[in-house]
Amino acid sequence: MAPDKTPDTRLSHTAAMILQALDAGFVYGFSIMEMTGLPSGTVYPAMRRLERDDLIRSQWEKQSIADAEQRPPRKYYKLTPAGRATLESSRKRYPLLERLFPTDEAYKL
Amino acid sequence: MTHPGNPIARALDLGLIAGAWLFVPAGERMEWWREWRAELWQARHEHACDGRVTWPSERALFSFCLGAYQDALCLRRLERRTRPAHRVRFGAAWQCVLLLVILLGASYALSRVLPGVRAQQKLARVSTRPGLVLIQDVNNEDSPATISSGQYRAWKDRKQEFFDDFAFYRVTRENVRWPQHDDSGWGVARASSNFFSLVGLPVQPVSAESRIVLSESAWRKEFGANPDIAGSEVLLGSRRVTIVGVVPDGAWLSMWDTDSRRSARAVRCTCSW
Repeated sequence: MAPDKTPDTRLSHTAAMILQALDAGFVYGFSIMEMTGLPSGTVYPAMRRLERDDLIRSQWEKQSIADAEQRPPRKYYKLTPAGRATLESSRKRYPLLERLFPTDEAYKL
Repeated sequence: MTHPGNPIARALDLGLIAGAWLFVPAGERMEWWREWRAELWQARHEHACDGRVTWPSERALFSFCLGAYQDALCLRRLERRTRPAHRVRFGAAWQCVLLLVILLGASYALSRVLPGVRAQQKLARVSTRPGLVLIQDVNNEDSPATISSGQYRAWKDRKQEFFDDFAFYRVTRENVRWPQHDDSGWGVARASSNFFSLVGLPVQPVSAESRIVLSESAWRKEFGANPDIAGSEVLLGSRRVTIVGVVPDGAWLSMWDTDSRRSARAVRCTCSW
């Protein structure tokens, strides 16, 4: 049988929480911090590693949108297909993960 | 764009993040700074209390900013792990040693070609006295003086001497003739009688008679490396001089290209002092 190439078995609970938060619509660092309750020193490094592993992808918000809201542009993160597959596997491993962030509480972009 | 919160507290927070910025790999600093500024703005916006500084909110923001250091160090670690170009360029230890050996070999080969280096190598084989001072004629326009005449006089008149002897030399261009050869212009260094003993060359001017010492290259070029050249006479300008020996090129001075060194009495040396 071919080995499972998804890195879900090595994914920590913190990383799984971040993926879940992203999937729920909390798409920038501070919002993830707020929703997970994790400190900045944990969230941002974890997101760097997830991005390095191609589980998430980042994109800068358009300047015009930020200007309209009178704030600096944010760096948004979203799940990649690999990240989504990993999250599915992690949900099996961490059954309570889905209950942490109901999707309807997510920030609307 | 509005900046929520107290400006002084905001500046302190930005200073903290700027400190962390120094740890971020150079190529990622711009984007990292942009992201953290935006995140700080968001954090400040969430904790703002009508422009007032409140201890709980500032403590939360301080903790938030400290996270920037962990983030910066994480990026640094990640950057170190993914640095293939660096490894390829410098390679393993044995490759570095091999590169060093090749560079040393190339340097040695280059030194064998450069005339200045060769002259210095020959000079190293001749024993010269440590702390040797050679004083050149200041009136010679072709070459710079080693010291000025004023300095020389000051040294000469000083009772407490930091040296035990002086020697003079002067480089000139002179016509030289010898039997069955046409005139040729040589660079001639006229030197005082104590010159050779001072620099440590085994040449003894035994009389007031004019004698000449050839450089090795002049001996090979002009006299075909004749081993019986000692004792021969050549006409230096209008004066007849006797060849008394051959010294390696650059044996006493590597900076002047002289074809011969003429030993003379100090009183007959054409110095301006």
